[in-house]
Amino acid sequence: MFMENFDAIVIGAGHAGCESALALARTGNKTLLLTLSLDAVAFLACNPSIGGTAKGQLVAEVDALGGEMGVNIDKTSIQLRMLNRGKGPAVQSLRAQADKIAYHNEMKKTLENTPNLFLRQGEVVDIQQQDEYKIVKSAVGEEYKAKTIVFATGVYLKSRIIIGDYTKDVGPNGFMNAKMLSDSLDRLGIKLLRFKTGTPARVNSRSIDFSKLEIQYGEDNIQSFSFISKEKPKNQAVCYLTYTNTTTHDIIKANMDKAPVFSGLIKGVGPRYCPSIETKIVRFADKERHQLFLEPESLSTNEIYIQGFSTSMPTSVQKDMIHSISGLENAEIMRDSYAIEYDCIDPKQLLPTLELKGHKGLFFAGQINGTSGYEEAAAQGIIAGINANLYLKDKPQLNLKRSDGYIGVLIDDIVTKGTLEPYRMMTSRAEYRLFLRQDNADLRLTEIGREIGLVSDERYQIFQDKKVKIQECLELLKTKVVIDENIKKMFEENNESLPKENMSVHEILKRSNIDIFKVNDRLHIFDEFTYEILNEVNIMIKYEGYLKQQDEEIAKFKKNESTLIPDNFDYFKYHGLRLEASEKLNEIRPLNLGQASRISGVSPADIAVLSVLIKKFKEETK
Amino acid sequence: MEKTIASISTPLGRGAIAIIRMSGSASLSIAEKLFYSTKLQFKNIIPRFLYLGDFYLDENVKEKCLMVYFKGPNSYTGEDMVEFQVHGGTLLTQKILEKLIENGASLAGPGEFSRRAFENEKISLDEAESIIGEINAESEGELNASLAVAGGKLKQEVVKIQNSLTDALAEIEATLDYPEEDFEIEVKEKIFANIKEVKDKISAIVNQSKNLKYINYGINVGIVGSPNVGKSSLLNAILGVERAIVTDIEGTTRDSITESMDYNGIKLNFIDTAGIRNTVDKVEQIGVEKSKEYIKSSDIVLYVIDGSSPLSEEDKEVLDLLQGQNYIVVVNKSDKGRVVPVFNNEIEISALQKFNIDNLLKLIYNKVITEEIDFNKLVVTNERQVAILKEALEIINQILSNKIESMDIISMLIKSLWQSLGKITGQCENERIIDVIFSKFCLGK
Repeated sequence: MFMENFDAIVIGAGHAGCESALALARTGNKTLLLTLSLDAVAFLACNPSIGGTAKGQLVAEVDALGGEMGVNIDKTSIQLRMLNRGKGPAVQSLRAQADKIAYHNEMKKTLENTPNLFLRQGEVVDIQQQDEYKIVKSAVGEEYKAKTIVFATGVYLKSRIIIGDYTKDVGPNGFMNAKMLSDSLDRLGIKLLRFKTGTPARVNSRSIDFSKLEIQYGEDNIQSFSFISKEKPKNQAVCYLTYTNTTTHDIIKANMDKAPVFSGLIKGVGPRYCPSIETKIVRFADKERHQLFLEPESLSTNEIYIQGFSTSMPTSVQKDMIHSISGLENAEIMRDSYAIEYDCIDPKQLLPTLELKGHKGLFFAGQINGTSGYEEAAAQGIIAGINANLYLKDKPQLNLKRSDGYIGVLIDDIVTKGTLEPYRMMTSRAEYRLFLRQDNADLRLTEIGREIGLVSDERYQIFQDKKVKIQECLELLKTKVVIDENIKKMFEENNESLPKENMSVHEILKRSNIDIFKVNDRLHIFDEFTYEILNEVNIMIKYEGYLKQQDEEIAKFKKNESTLIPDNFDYFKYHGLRLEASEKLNEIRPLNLGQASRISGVSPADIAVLSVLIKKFKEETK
Repeated sequence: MEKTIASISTPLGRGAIAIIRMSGSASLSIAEKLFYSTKLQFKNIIPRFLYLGDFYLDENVKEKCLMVYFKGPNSYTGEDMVEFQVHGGTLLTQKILEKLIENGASLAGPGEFSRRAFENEKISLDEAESIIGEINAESEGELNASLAVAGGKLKQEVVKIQNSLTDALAEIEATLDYPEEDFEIEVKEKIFANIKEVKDKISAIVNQSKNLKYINYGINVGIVGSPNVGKSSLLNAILGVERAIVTDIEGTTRDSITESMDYNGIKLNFIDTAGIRNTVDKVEQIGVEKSKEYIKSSDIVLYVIDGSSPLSEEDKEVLDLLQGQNYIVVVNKSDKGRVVPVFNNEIEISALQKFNIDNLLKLIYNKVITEEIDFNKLVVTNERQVAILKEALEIINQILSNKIESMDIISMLIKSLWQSLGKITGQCENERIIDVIFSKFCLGK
């Protein structure tokens, strides 16, 4: 039988798979990207939006490494807002409404036109190992061979959707699912989990009474996601705000026995941050209303997504629930809300490089790792792709640290602590979030992407220009400012006491109510700089002390990260470690002392003991 | 580079001599700031040579001690080390340790000296296991300061504070991570109120800790005064009144014996100048020099005068020495007719008649113990805990300073506050914030 050879095979063309395949192909590897349906490539199966808190940071990081998500959303966004303005730079995140049809089309086009990348529809039914090669068998009898595989199968493994008492073994949106692959993973000895998520109904915009709703506009003159996008994004659509009410809640309560989440029909573990409306009403009984956002799915369809209203109630109940809401009294439902259950792997079986422990060349990315969210998937996708490439080239793997980016936090969290529910990124998960900002993602990660070969000359030039500009701007801060009437006014208007003598711009910026933009409005010495540069410099000065504090913490953190634990270290060989600690450590097999210290159930004293034992082990095995 | 660490190496409280040691590259430079000996130039210091000199606890307060320097790698830890051998008083050793920390050393962690010794290959592999025992034992001890009832109470208190901080953090984080949710609360004000409460709680604990050393080691009461004013009869009267068990314990100066009695659960350690008089000379000759020494090592001084005769030159000289000190003017022989002027903080007694002695004891107690001692509330058991709480208070003041506008920074500071307190409770990583967020707030799409 003829077998096609590739350097790498990526299974699944969702947000993780696309990034993996592009990273592999762009670094010169002949890459096969298999998908159950070509119509589901980069499909936004749930909300039609990209970004948001912590997720905006992830997109920026993927972009800085040379990924595609940022570029693709910039091509297809129809509304943008910066969240958390005024709450500090650490937590500001860009959020876009995406045209989901355009998003899919654009990504598919990019894949189709990328050299070395072969996009093909097909269901994978089995994986076999043959020496250093992996054989991938498809349902129609094709066989493909490669040295490395990235599993990015999303929520398609043995998935089934649930609407009331109706269930069907299909993937999201009725796409076919993968029935055989879970068993193949099981045969490889991989521990599987079963998770659940859901998506709300879509209604036809022509049937909505918008006059009753509050409009939510996008922000004008807003930046783009990608550091290399040249055009400012445009706002072409609006969202609407409405609320559930006591009637809605009464309908839900009266039909609680029909809710599969409570009847026991759903066994998978759902996320706490994305609860169905019935869960919200049970758990927060005293809340009289819940807010709902109506979001357009695309400029080329009437479909409207009802954010906040995910349910697995029977369709008849869903209809009553929707019609009880202001503005939606006559809404025509186009797609039902459903819950979906699926197999995923316990991510604790992975190394921080996303390679499966004990199986060289097998990488995992995206929802198959128990995470949730497009951005989380893309972030893992690019790392799995990068590491599969490095594996092929026999180079050291990339292991991003918690201090390098949200990507590092995300991966470290899931592989070190595991997850009991679909894992969502949050800014509160990042201990160095003042440093891990969206605006400086390029400064943090572009060099890494460049070294790997993913950062194009164009992107690299933009990055270097930014660094030069920042330097020039910092130089200008030394400018002494004469306190004339013009400047005095600025101090007065901002309730700042007048300086006794002339001050440098740097000193002026230390005043809490004055920023670089206000100074420039008066002095126009920074006119040649873009908003991005000025914003960057402003943050660097305003938060100088706190950033320095965080730097020190990062230096401390890195010390333990650099104490490596030998691959073959035996946690049961010596006395001294508590049994519980030995067991936990042995399960995770951390790469270094830092990772070990984050395993739950391992105490600081255990780490002190471990550091001694590592030394002893190294001596003995010399 | 590893930071320079310090700790008291001998058991607290017992023993005539205590050793305080430092390890790390800054050991010698820290020692140089605090130790002075005529025989020593630090740049020419000879390793492993014992220097006799003065350890400066304050500009004017010094303590005789021995210092020895070990140059790395020829030391226990393999790093530069400095050891001080001092008199065994617990208060004194604590003070010296505090001084070292003030000047740049950090408190050593559990088994840290041994761990460094091991890492620098000063200890053989065979000894590794015993070090592990040491680390485990010390960290247990640390966490289970709880074993001592008071320590347990402190931990409980601080865990409560940590939990309330976790709630505060959850609230901030919920608004930061879910900016689109409709929260009904004005978060910042609520958080500030919460932090102020925490501040009050911690301040109360720290204030209680002012009494810590008195509870642990007693109040040192120096008795000074010219000859023949009745110092020894005063002491006899005091000890007689309470029929206290008189014990000899090591005092804070090498050449004096202290007699102690219990008053309201607090030990009063009287520096027995009469004892010296008896052993040294028949004639009372406590001069100005000697008085100075007693004054310096006392928490409070009893300045005894004979109320029935005018103040002598020597009386006046001693009185000058007392300025700025906590002292009581004890006007003795009050029954014989008073000729001396009235002093601000005086008490009239008669040692012979045992008149007003009880009130004198009460006065001593009240003038030192300014915060009322509530043994049910007293939760701090050592200076390390006090240091941690003071660090926490500093962070709180920074939060409340009102200079910070953005919630991300406030959150960052509350997190470091939480972690700081973790050094008392042993809870170092806050894994609960996200759980609390989801249990308290209805979030998500």
